[in-house]
Amino acid sequence: MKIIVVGCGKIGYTIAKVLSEKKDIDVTVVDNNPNIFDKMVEPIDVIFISGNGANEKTLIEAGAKDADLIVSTTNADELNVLCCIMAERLGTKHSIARVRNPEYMLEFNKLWKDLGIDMVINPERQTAREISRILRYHAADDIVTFIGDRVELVSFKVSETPEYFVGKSVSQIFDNNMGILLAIVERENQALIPNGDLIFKESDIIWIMGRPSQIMKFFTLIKKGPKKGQEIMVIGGGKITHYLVELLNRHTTKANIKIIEKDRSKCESLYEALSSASLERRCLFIHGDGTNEELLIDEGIDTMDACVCLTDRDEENVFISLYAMRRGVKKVITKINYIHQNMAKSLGLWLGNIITPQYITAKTVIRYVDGLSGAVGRNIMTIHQIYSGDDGNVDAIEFQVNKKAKCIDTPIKKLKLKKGILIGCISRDFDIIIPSGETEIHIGDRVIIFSKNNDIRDLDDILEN
Amino acid sequence: MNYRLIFKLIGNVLRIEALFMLFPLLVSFIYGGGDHPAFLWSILISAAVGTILAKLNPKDKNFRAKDAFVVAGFSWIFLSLFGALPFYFSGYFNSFVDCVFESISGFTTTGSSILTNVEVLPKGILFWRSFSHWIGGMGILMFMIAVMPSINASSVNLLRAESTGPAPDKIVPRIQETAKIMYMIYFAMTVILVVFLKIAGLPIFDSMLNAFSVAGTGGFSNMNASIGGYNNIAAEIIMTVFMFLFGISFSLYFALLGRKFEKFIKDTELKIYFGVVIVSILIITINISGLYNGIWEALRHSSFQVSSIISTTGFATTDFNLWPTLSKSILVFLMFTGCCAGSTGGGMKLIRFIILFKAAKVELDKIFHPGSVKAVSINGKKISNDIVFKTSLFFFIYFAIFFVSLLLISIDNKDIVSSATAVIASLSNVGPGLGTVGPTGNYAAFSSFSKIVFSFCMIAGRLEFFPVLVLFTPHVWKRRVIK
Repeated sequence: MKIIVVGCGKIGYTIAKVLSEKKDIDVTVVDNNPNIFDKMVEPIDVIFISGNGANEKTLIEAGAKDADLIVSTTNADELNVLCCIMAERLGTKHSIARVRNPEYMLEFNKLWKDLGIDMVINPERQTAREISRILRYHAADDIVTFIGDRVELVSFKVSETPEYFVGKSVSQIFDNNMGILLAIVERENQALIPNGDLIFKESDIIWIMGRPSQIMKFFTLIKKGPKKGQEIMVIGGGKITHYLVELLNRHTTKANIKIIEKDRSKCESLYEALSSASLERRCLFIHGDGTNEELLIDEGIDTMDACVCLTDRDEENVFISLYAMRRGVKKVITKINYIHQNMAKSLGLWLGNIITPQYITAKTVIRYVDGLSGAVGRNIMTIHQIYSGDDGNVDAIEFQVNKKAKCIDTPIKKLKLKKGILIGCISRDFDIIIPSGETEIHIGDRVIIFSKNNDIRDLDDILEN
Repeated sequence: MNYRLIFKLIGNVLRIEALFMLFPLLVSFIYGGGDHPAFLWSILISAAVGTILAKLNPKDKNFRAKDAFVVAGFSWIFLSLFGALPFYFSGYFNSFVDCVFESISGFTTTGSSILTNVEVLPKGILFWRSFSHWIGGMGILMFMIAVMPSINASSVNLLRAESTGPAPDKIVPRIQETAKIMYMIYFAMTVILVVFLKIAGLPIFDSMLNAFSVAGTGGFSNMNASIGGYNNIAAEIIMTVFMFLFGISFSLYFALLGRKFEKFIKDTELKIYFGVVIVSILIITINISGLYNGIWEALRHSSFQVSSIISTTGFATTDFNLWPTLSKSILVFLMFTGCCAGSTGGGMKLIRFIILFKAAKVELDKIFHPGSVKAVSINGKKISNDIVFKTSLFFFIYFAIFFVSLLLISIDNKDIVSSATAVIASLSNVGPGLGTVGPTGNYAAFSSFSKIVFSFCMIAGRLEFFPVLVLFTPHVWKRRVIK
């Protein structure tokens, strides 16, 4: 598959990097700065063409005539749209444009489709969505979604609610009627695929899977459900904050939000953009410096349920986050752009609460690409590595069952599965099924498989030979 | 430095070399000659050492840019050392230094020999000499990239370290795909050449040997009198054309395959290459016409020689040492320039001359219009100042190494023309120079020390200096312990 990426900034680079690491994908990167490639610390296996991505000659040189996809990620929304339209006219089959301006995002879908743009990516809005998801389960450490966000895989520490888990066995807590699957238990640097007799310990980390509503119910059950009227402090008032406030306002749990922004005019324009009657009651816009300790204490950082750091500067975000954690804020979410995730993690931030917009965007593009390649015969939709430790890796793999596989139409208990394989859940039509021994896989289903140290490329790879 | 990773890769290079040695082994079994034990032992040693090194398990599996240069430098040294083993075991050489010289001369596609009589050598050794040209022409690391199962994106630095020209780059997005395509074109052109030479009347063994030499632009011959020994006009014309063709950038052949004829025709370097060759042939033909029977024979020799020298092959059909000074000067100039970047040939590459000529013109314009904003551009693409600077630096390093080597060679007290052209011919991977190292002479008369200096020049010239020079920096030798 041939993919053209226009613009080699943070997002373009990340997308090109992740795509180039996949087999069968040839990536061409177009950027108007001819020196950008030499300055990369980590080279990526792509071909580089310098020039304007909306220039016909450059596009033809990049192979737009027979490319499968163009992803335009420059800073200018208009240029991205132009690139996509031109490439599509030249013969590129699909196109993705990065559009960030909230004003362009109002009329969605139809108009963009008419212009020939298949997908609009908005890193800020996606980031906001990710943050709102984390805020929803405030006990959760990490959230991965499958089947178009209809299934969620959530991890949390047993130590959050030890009274509910410690000393009890799996079968005492989880039963089939809950609609929740216990996928893995991380214990002392090992990943266990649990059976019913496993007894929970305080140091365990648990991964559960299910529909968002079921998972929400489960968290309510263990007394970690979303609180009504959460107190959330957002530091930094950029585009992500804009989208985040809109999303939080749509939640049923009506959070109270305090927004602190350093720049007066930015603060005012954000207020104007968001000042609808329903918001006004629960949102407070404060002009001030988020790194000012007194201001934070005055605005009640100690009473906050969550603190979200979204300023433009990574250092500020990390500092404020660490400070908020010291002050006892339970949920601290940190946005970073340049600092490497591992570096932030080593400072004491929890990986699941670190948000990197370019990775979120890259993930969306990868899913789209997986969908495209799924259409041409291969049937892996997405792979997420959810655990990596001393004893190996655990991957969650989403399959589209679209051809005659050996394991279909047979009850799962009769399948001879390899060691370290767990069938997570099955999506059939509009149903999400947590499988029991009697469940069968049918053609047309989407299946999520957990695999520990197995090389799974095809659905039948889960079977013992 | 990540030594484990570096030596793991070198181990792979040695294993590939052992694999390549199976071909001369086969030849020695077919033709006899008693050199098969030499190859058996060499294969055994290379494979054993290679396998041990390849088993190394680096702690840090990330391959970094700085490692690539060190790998390139060391790989070529190891490749040459182990490639010298068959020569050593065969017993036809006086010392191990001679074997290493011959091996380096082979892999760097120089083609200068310390042997006075090659016709007595067994067929297997002859085959290995020429085959090493073919391996070294496109490069062993390129081959490794093409065949290794998992290739990291950073391997592009290996490709850059080994390919020639100021800014070598990939022709398709995938580095492995690039290496495969390059080798495919290389292989196909070699096969075509073998067939042509066979049709022209050369024995199949000689056709293959000479095809390897031409393809790698090496210059080892199985005749003492080089190509002149065959006295076969058809073969000479075929080789003249193919030496020229192997001096063209392989990315242009890829453009031809992709039916991008415009890119091929409008390439600046190719146009200059063509022009330089035509003008040189014309001047030399007129200049030497008195020495031969008529203009046609003069043209035959001058065209063969120009094509042979500019592509840095170094074959000879006649003793150009006896030509007038003008002709010899032109040939020495061609030794400096070499052919096009991205080809299998050596020398400084025409593109560097073009870049610097254009840069000089820009600088001259600035005297009259101090405020003028101008940039060097080639094929419609702007050349960054960084590349212009690196190109100038390349010239400086070339001449710096040239003068230092010349001083070291002078200890042997040979005449200045022989010494100077010997160094140029080594740095540019041509092979024969003038005087005692001319087409009928060889390097046997030099001392062992001089041969080591020449060997250094050949490897440095083939890898375009930087991968070899980094080996002399303290960074490479400093041990840093990771806690």
